[in-house]
Amino acid sequence: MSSKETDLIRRVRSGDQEAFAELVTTYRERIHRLVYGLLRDRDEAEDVTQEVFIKAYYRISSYKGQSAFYTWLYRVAVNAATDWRKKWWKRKGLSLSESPTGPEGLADERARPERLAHGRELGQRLDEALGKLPEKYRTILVLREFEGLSYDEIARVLELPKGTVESRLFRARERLKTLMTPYM
Amino acid sequence: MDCSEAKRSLSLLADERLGAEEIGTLEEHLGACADCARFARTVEAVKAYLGELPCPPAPPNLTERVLARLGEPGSRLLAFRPMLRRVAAAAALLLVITGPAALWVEPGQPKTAASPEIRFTADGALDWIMSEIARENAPRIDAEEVK
Ligand SMILES: [Zn+2]
Repeated sequence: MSSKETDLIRRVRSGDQEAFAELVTTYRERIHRLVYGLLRDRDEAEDVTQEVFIKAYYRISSYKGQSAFYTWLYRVAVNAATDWRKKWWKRKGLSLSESPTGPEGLADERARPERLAHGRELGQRLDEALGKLPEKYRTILVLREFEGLSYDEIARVLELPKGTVESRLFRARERLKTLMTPYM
Repeated sequence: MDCSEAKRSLSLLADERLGAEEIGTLEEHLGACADCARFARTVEAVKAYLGELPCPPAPPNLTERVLARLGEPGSRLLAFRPMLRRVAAAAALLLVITGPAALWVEPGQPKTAASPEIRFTADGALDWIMSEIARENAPRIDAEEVK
């Protein structure tokens, strides 16, 4: 972490909102991208990204500087997206298998007419299957495949041992394979 | 190499963590096993799908919107809402346990008969409140997965 960032964080701890604005501007694209990957809904991603930064501001004292600031911020984002999903399920009174994830990925696929029909259908099936995965499996796949994080980075964000990162990714892919079997 | 090993190797391969010599053994297995070949196709497909998933840019005024909300009275509550909700639920439970229990005891009668059990339950609820507060800030780990 740069000394400039350390300094910004120190200032935020003492309530300096200008310093916090600099941190938000630095990380807003990355955090928005992560939240969008987890929720795959444009409007909700915007709202939850805002919540992430508000939570980060008030909880900054829980960042102890043991890992990079962005891994801590990612963790706040993953937890905020998870909480949002729980609220969504509660509001709609749906079971865990009926997640809010879905239509947006499709809309984006439809916006690319050059894609083969098979590719579109496969994308749709994958989107549905990802929506049916337990939260922890979807989250780790998004961190790995959408965010491109390494095992070390995922381990730090989720505060898991590296061996668990490996086994959770494996189990996530196994579940996905079961869900995708009729289409593969 | 059995199917379970093959699938673990495929997962590692997807993450570029498989050694060259294991790739040879894996290829042999895939040539003869339709189920593992299907696993391989799924792993590749989700990698391609998520890897190419387009993402809209963050709203340009996000920083301003966040700063504006920091000034709102409810924003601090928002940051701690999940924790507060659990604490509130526990407090309500505590009231349900202790409130009516106090009423059950006739005025003038010794409370000793009812109170040990009530106290035990109320202490349990308090412990639970404290554990909820700790849980809010703890990493979300699955014990079953930890090797
Ligand atoms: Zn096999």
